[in-house]
Amino acid sequence: MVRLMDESSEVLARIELLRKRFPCEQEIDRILTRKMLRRNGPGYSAVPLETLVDGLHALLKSKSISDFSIARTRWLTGGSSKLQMAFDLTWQPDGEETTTTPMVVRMEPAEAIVETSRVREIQLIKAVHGVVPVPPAYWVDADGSFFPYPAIVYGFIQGVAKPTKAVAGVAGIGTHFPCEIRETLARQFIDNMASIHLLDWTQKDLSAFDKPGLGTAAVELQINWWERVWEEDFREDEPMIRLAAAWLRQNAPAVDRISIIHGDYRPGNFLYSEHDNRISGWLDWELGHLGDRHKDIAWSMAGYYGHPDEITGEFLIGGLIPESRYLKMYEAASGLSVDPDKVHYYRILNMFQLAVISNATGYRVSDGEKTHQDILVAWITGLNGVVLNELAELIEAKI
Amino acid sequence: MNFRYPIQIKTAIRAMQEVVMPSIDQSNKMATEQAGLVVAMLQLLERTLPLSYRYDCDELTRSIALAEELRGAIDGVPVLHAMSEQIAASAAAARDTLDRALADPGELELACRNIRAAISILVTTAINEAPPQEREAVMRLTINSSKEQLLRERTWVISQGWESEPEKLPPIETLI
Repeated sequence: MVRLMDESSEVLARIELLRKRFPCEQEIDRILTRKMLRRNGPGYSAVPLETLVDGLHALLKSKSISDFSIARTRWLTGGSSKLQMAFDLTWQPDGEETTTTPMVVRMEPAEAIVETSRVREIQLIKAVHGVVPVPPAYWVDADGSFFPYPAIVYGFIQGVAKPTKAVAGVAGIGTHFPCEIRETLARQFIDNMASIHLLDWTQKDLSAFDKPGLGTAAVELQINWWERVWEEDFREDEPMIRLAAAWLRQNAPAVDRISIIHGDYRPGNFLYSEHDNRISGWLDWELGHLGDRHKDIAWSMAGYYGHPDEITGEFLIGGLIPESRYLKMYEAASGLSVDPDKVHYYRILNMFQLAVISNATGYRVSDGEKTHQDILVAWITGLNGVVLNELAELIEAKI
Repeated sequence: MNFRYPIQIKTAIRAMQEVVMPSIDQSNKMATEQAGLVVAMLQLLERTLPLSYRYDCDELTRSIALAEELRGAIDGVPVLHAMSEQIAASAAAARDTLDRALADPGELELACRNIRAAISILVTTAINEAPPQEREAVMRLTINSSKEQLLRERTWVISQGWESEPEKLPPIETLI
């Protein structure tokens, strides 16, 4: 268990100052506070599989699961922020017959390129279970009591994030799906997003989420979250970030319906089975929150998740759907309206968030040797120029 | 001295490509991916390091210009008077650093950081407190200057592959 905290008066005073300047959701405040308390602590040291297996044993015993065995442990790749170990658990769930279940431990490094809550992640996966394809969620180690760092355990689902023979960049950026499967995946991509946004979340256990009302409260929570992260992580200040933050606050649109927002809805974050092209699971719910559906819509429309159609030249959202059809398909699937002005606003908010991640956090965590793949995190900081340029152009179009 | 960074980087890349990478267990996907990124990162460094000092000087030159233009844009706005004085001082300090040809690269980088911090504070304050005309002027100047700077930043890392139309960006050597 890594618990080396810096609770000096200087650190505590800085945390308190940022907390007051940028009020965040309670759970976001908890995890950002924990990050800052550990900032001066040790970097990430390689965790052997055996350590995770030991953690699993302790976690399962704490759940009164005694008769079990763990096999086929192995690392998984994918994503840039968390470590993942796949394994098979032979056990008797809820007193049923002995069965073998493929599972995954998803654990934080010492500090991640996006610092998020495992409690929120597992609550969201449980909330949307049965609504869209997600892995079954089992257990959470919220504060690293069993594993070296906070972690969740969920089911392993079969599928690929990109065609087996496709070329794609890091973190799933720039994936090219073959023409013949685009329409099938596109329909599910849209339908799943609509289902998430239509879900009645009030009946779900989302205790780790603040529940903003209609109006601008949900937007302000988002701006506060990412501006606080900027303040915590930046090395060199950036006028465009300051301009964007001020502009976003002055132009926040009212939310007309509070929905579950995935937060990173794009190719690379769903798996599909190649034999029938069915989406088998949506992953990476760590940026999920309650807010405006336009945020997911805008996020999925970002330029680097898509590419021009090879024949028509029209831009394909997510490499799947022609831009001219995208919003109409969503409206038809959800019955919810799409406001182009709000889409534009959330494209700016999303670029602001991405700029904070790539410019500030990417530098800070790799400089502090805090992750299991600092070189990948550092590599992603190179995205900053493209992101900030798009941010500048999007705001310029509105003044 | 011959043993400077070009040969150090070149040999490191070679060792990675010819010795380390072939020995990696191909089923260890994380190790395979990171080895590829190590080589790509070294190749990026190999290309940009010779231009690094020129890049910083160029950035500081344009940051000074922006600071002075911003100061002109807010001239006479009472609420921004103190800010105007501060930005003038930051610009003067930055110009002094730039004028000294022998300034240490680290000092140059620090001057960049300091003036960007000063500009950032001014931008936030002006957008929140300045009258509409000056507020818009500050926003336009900042956006235009940022796009100029970001063109260089994007070109600097063009080999990373983030650009959808990389052929439309001019060579970095022509920009700084």
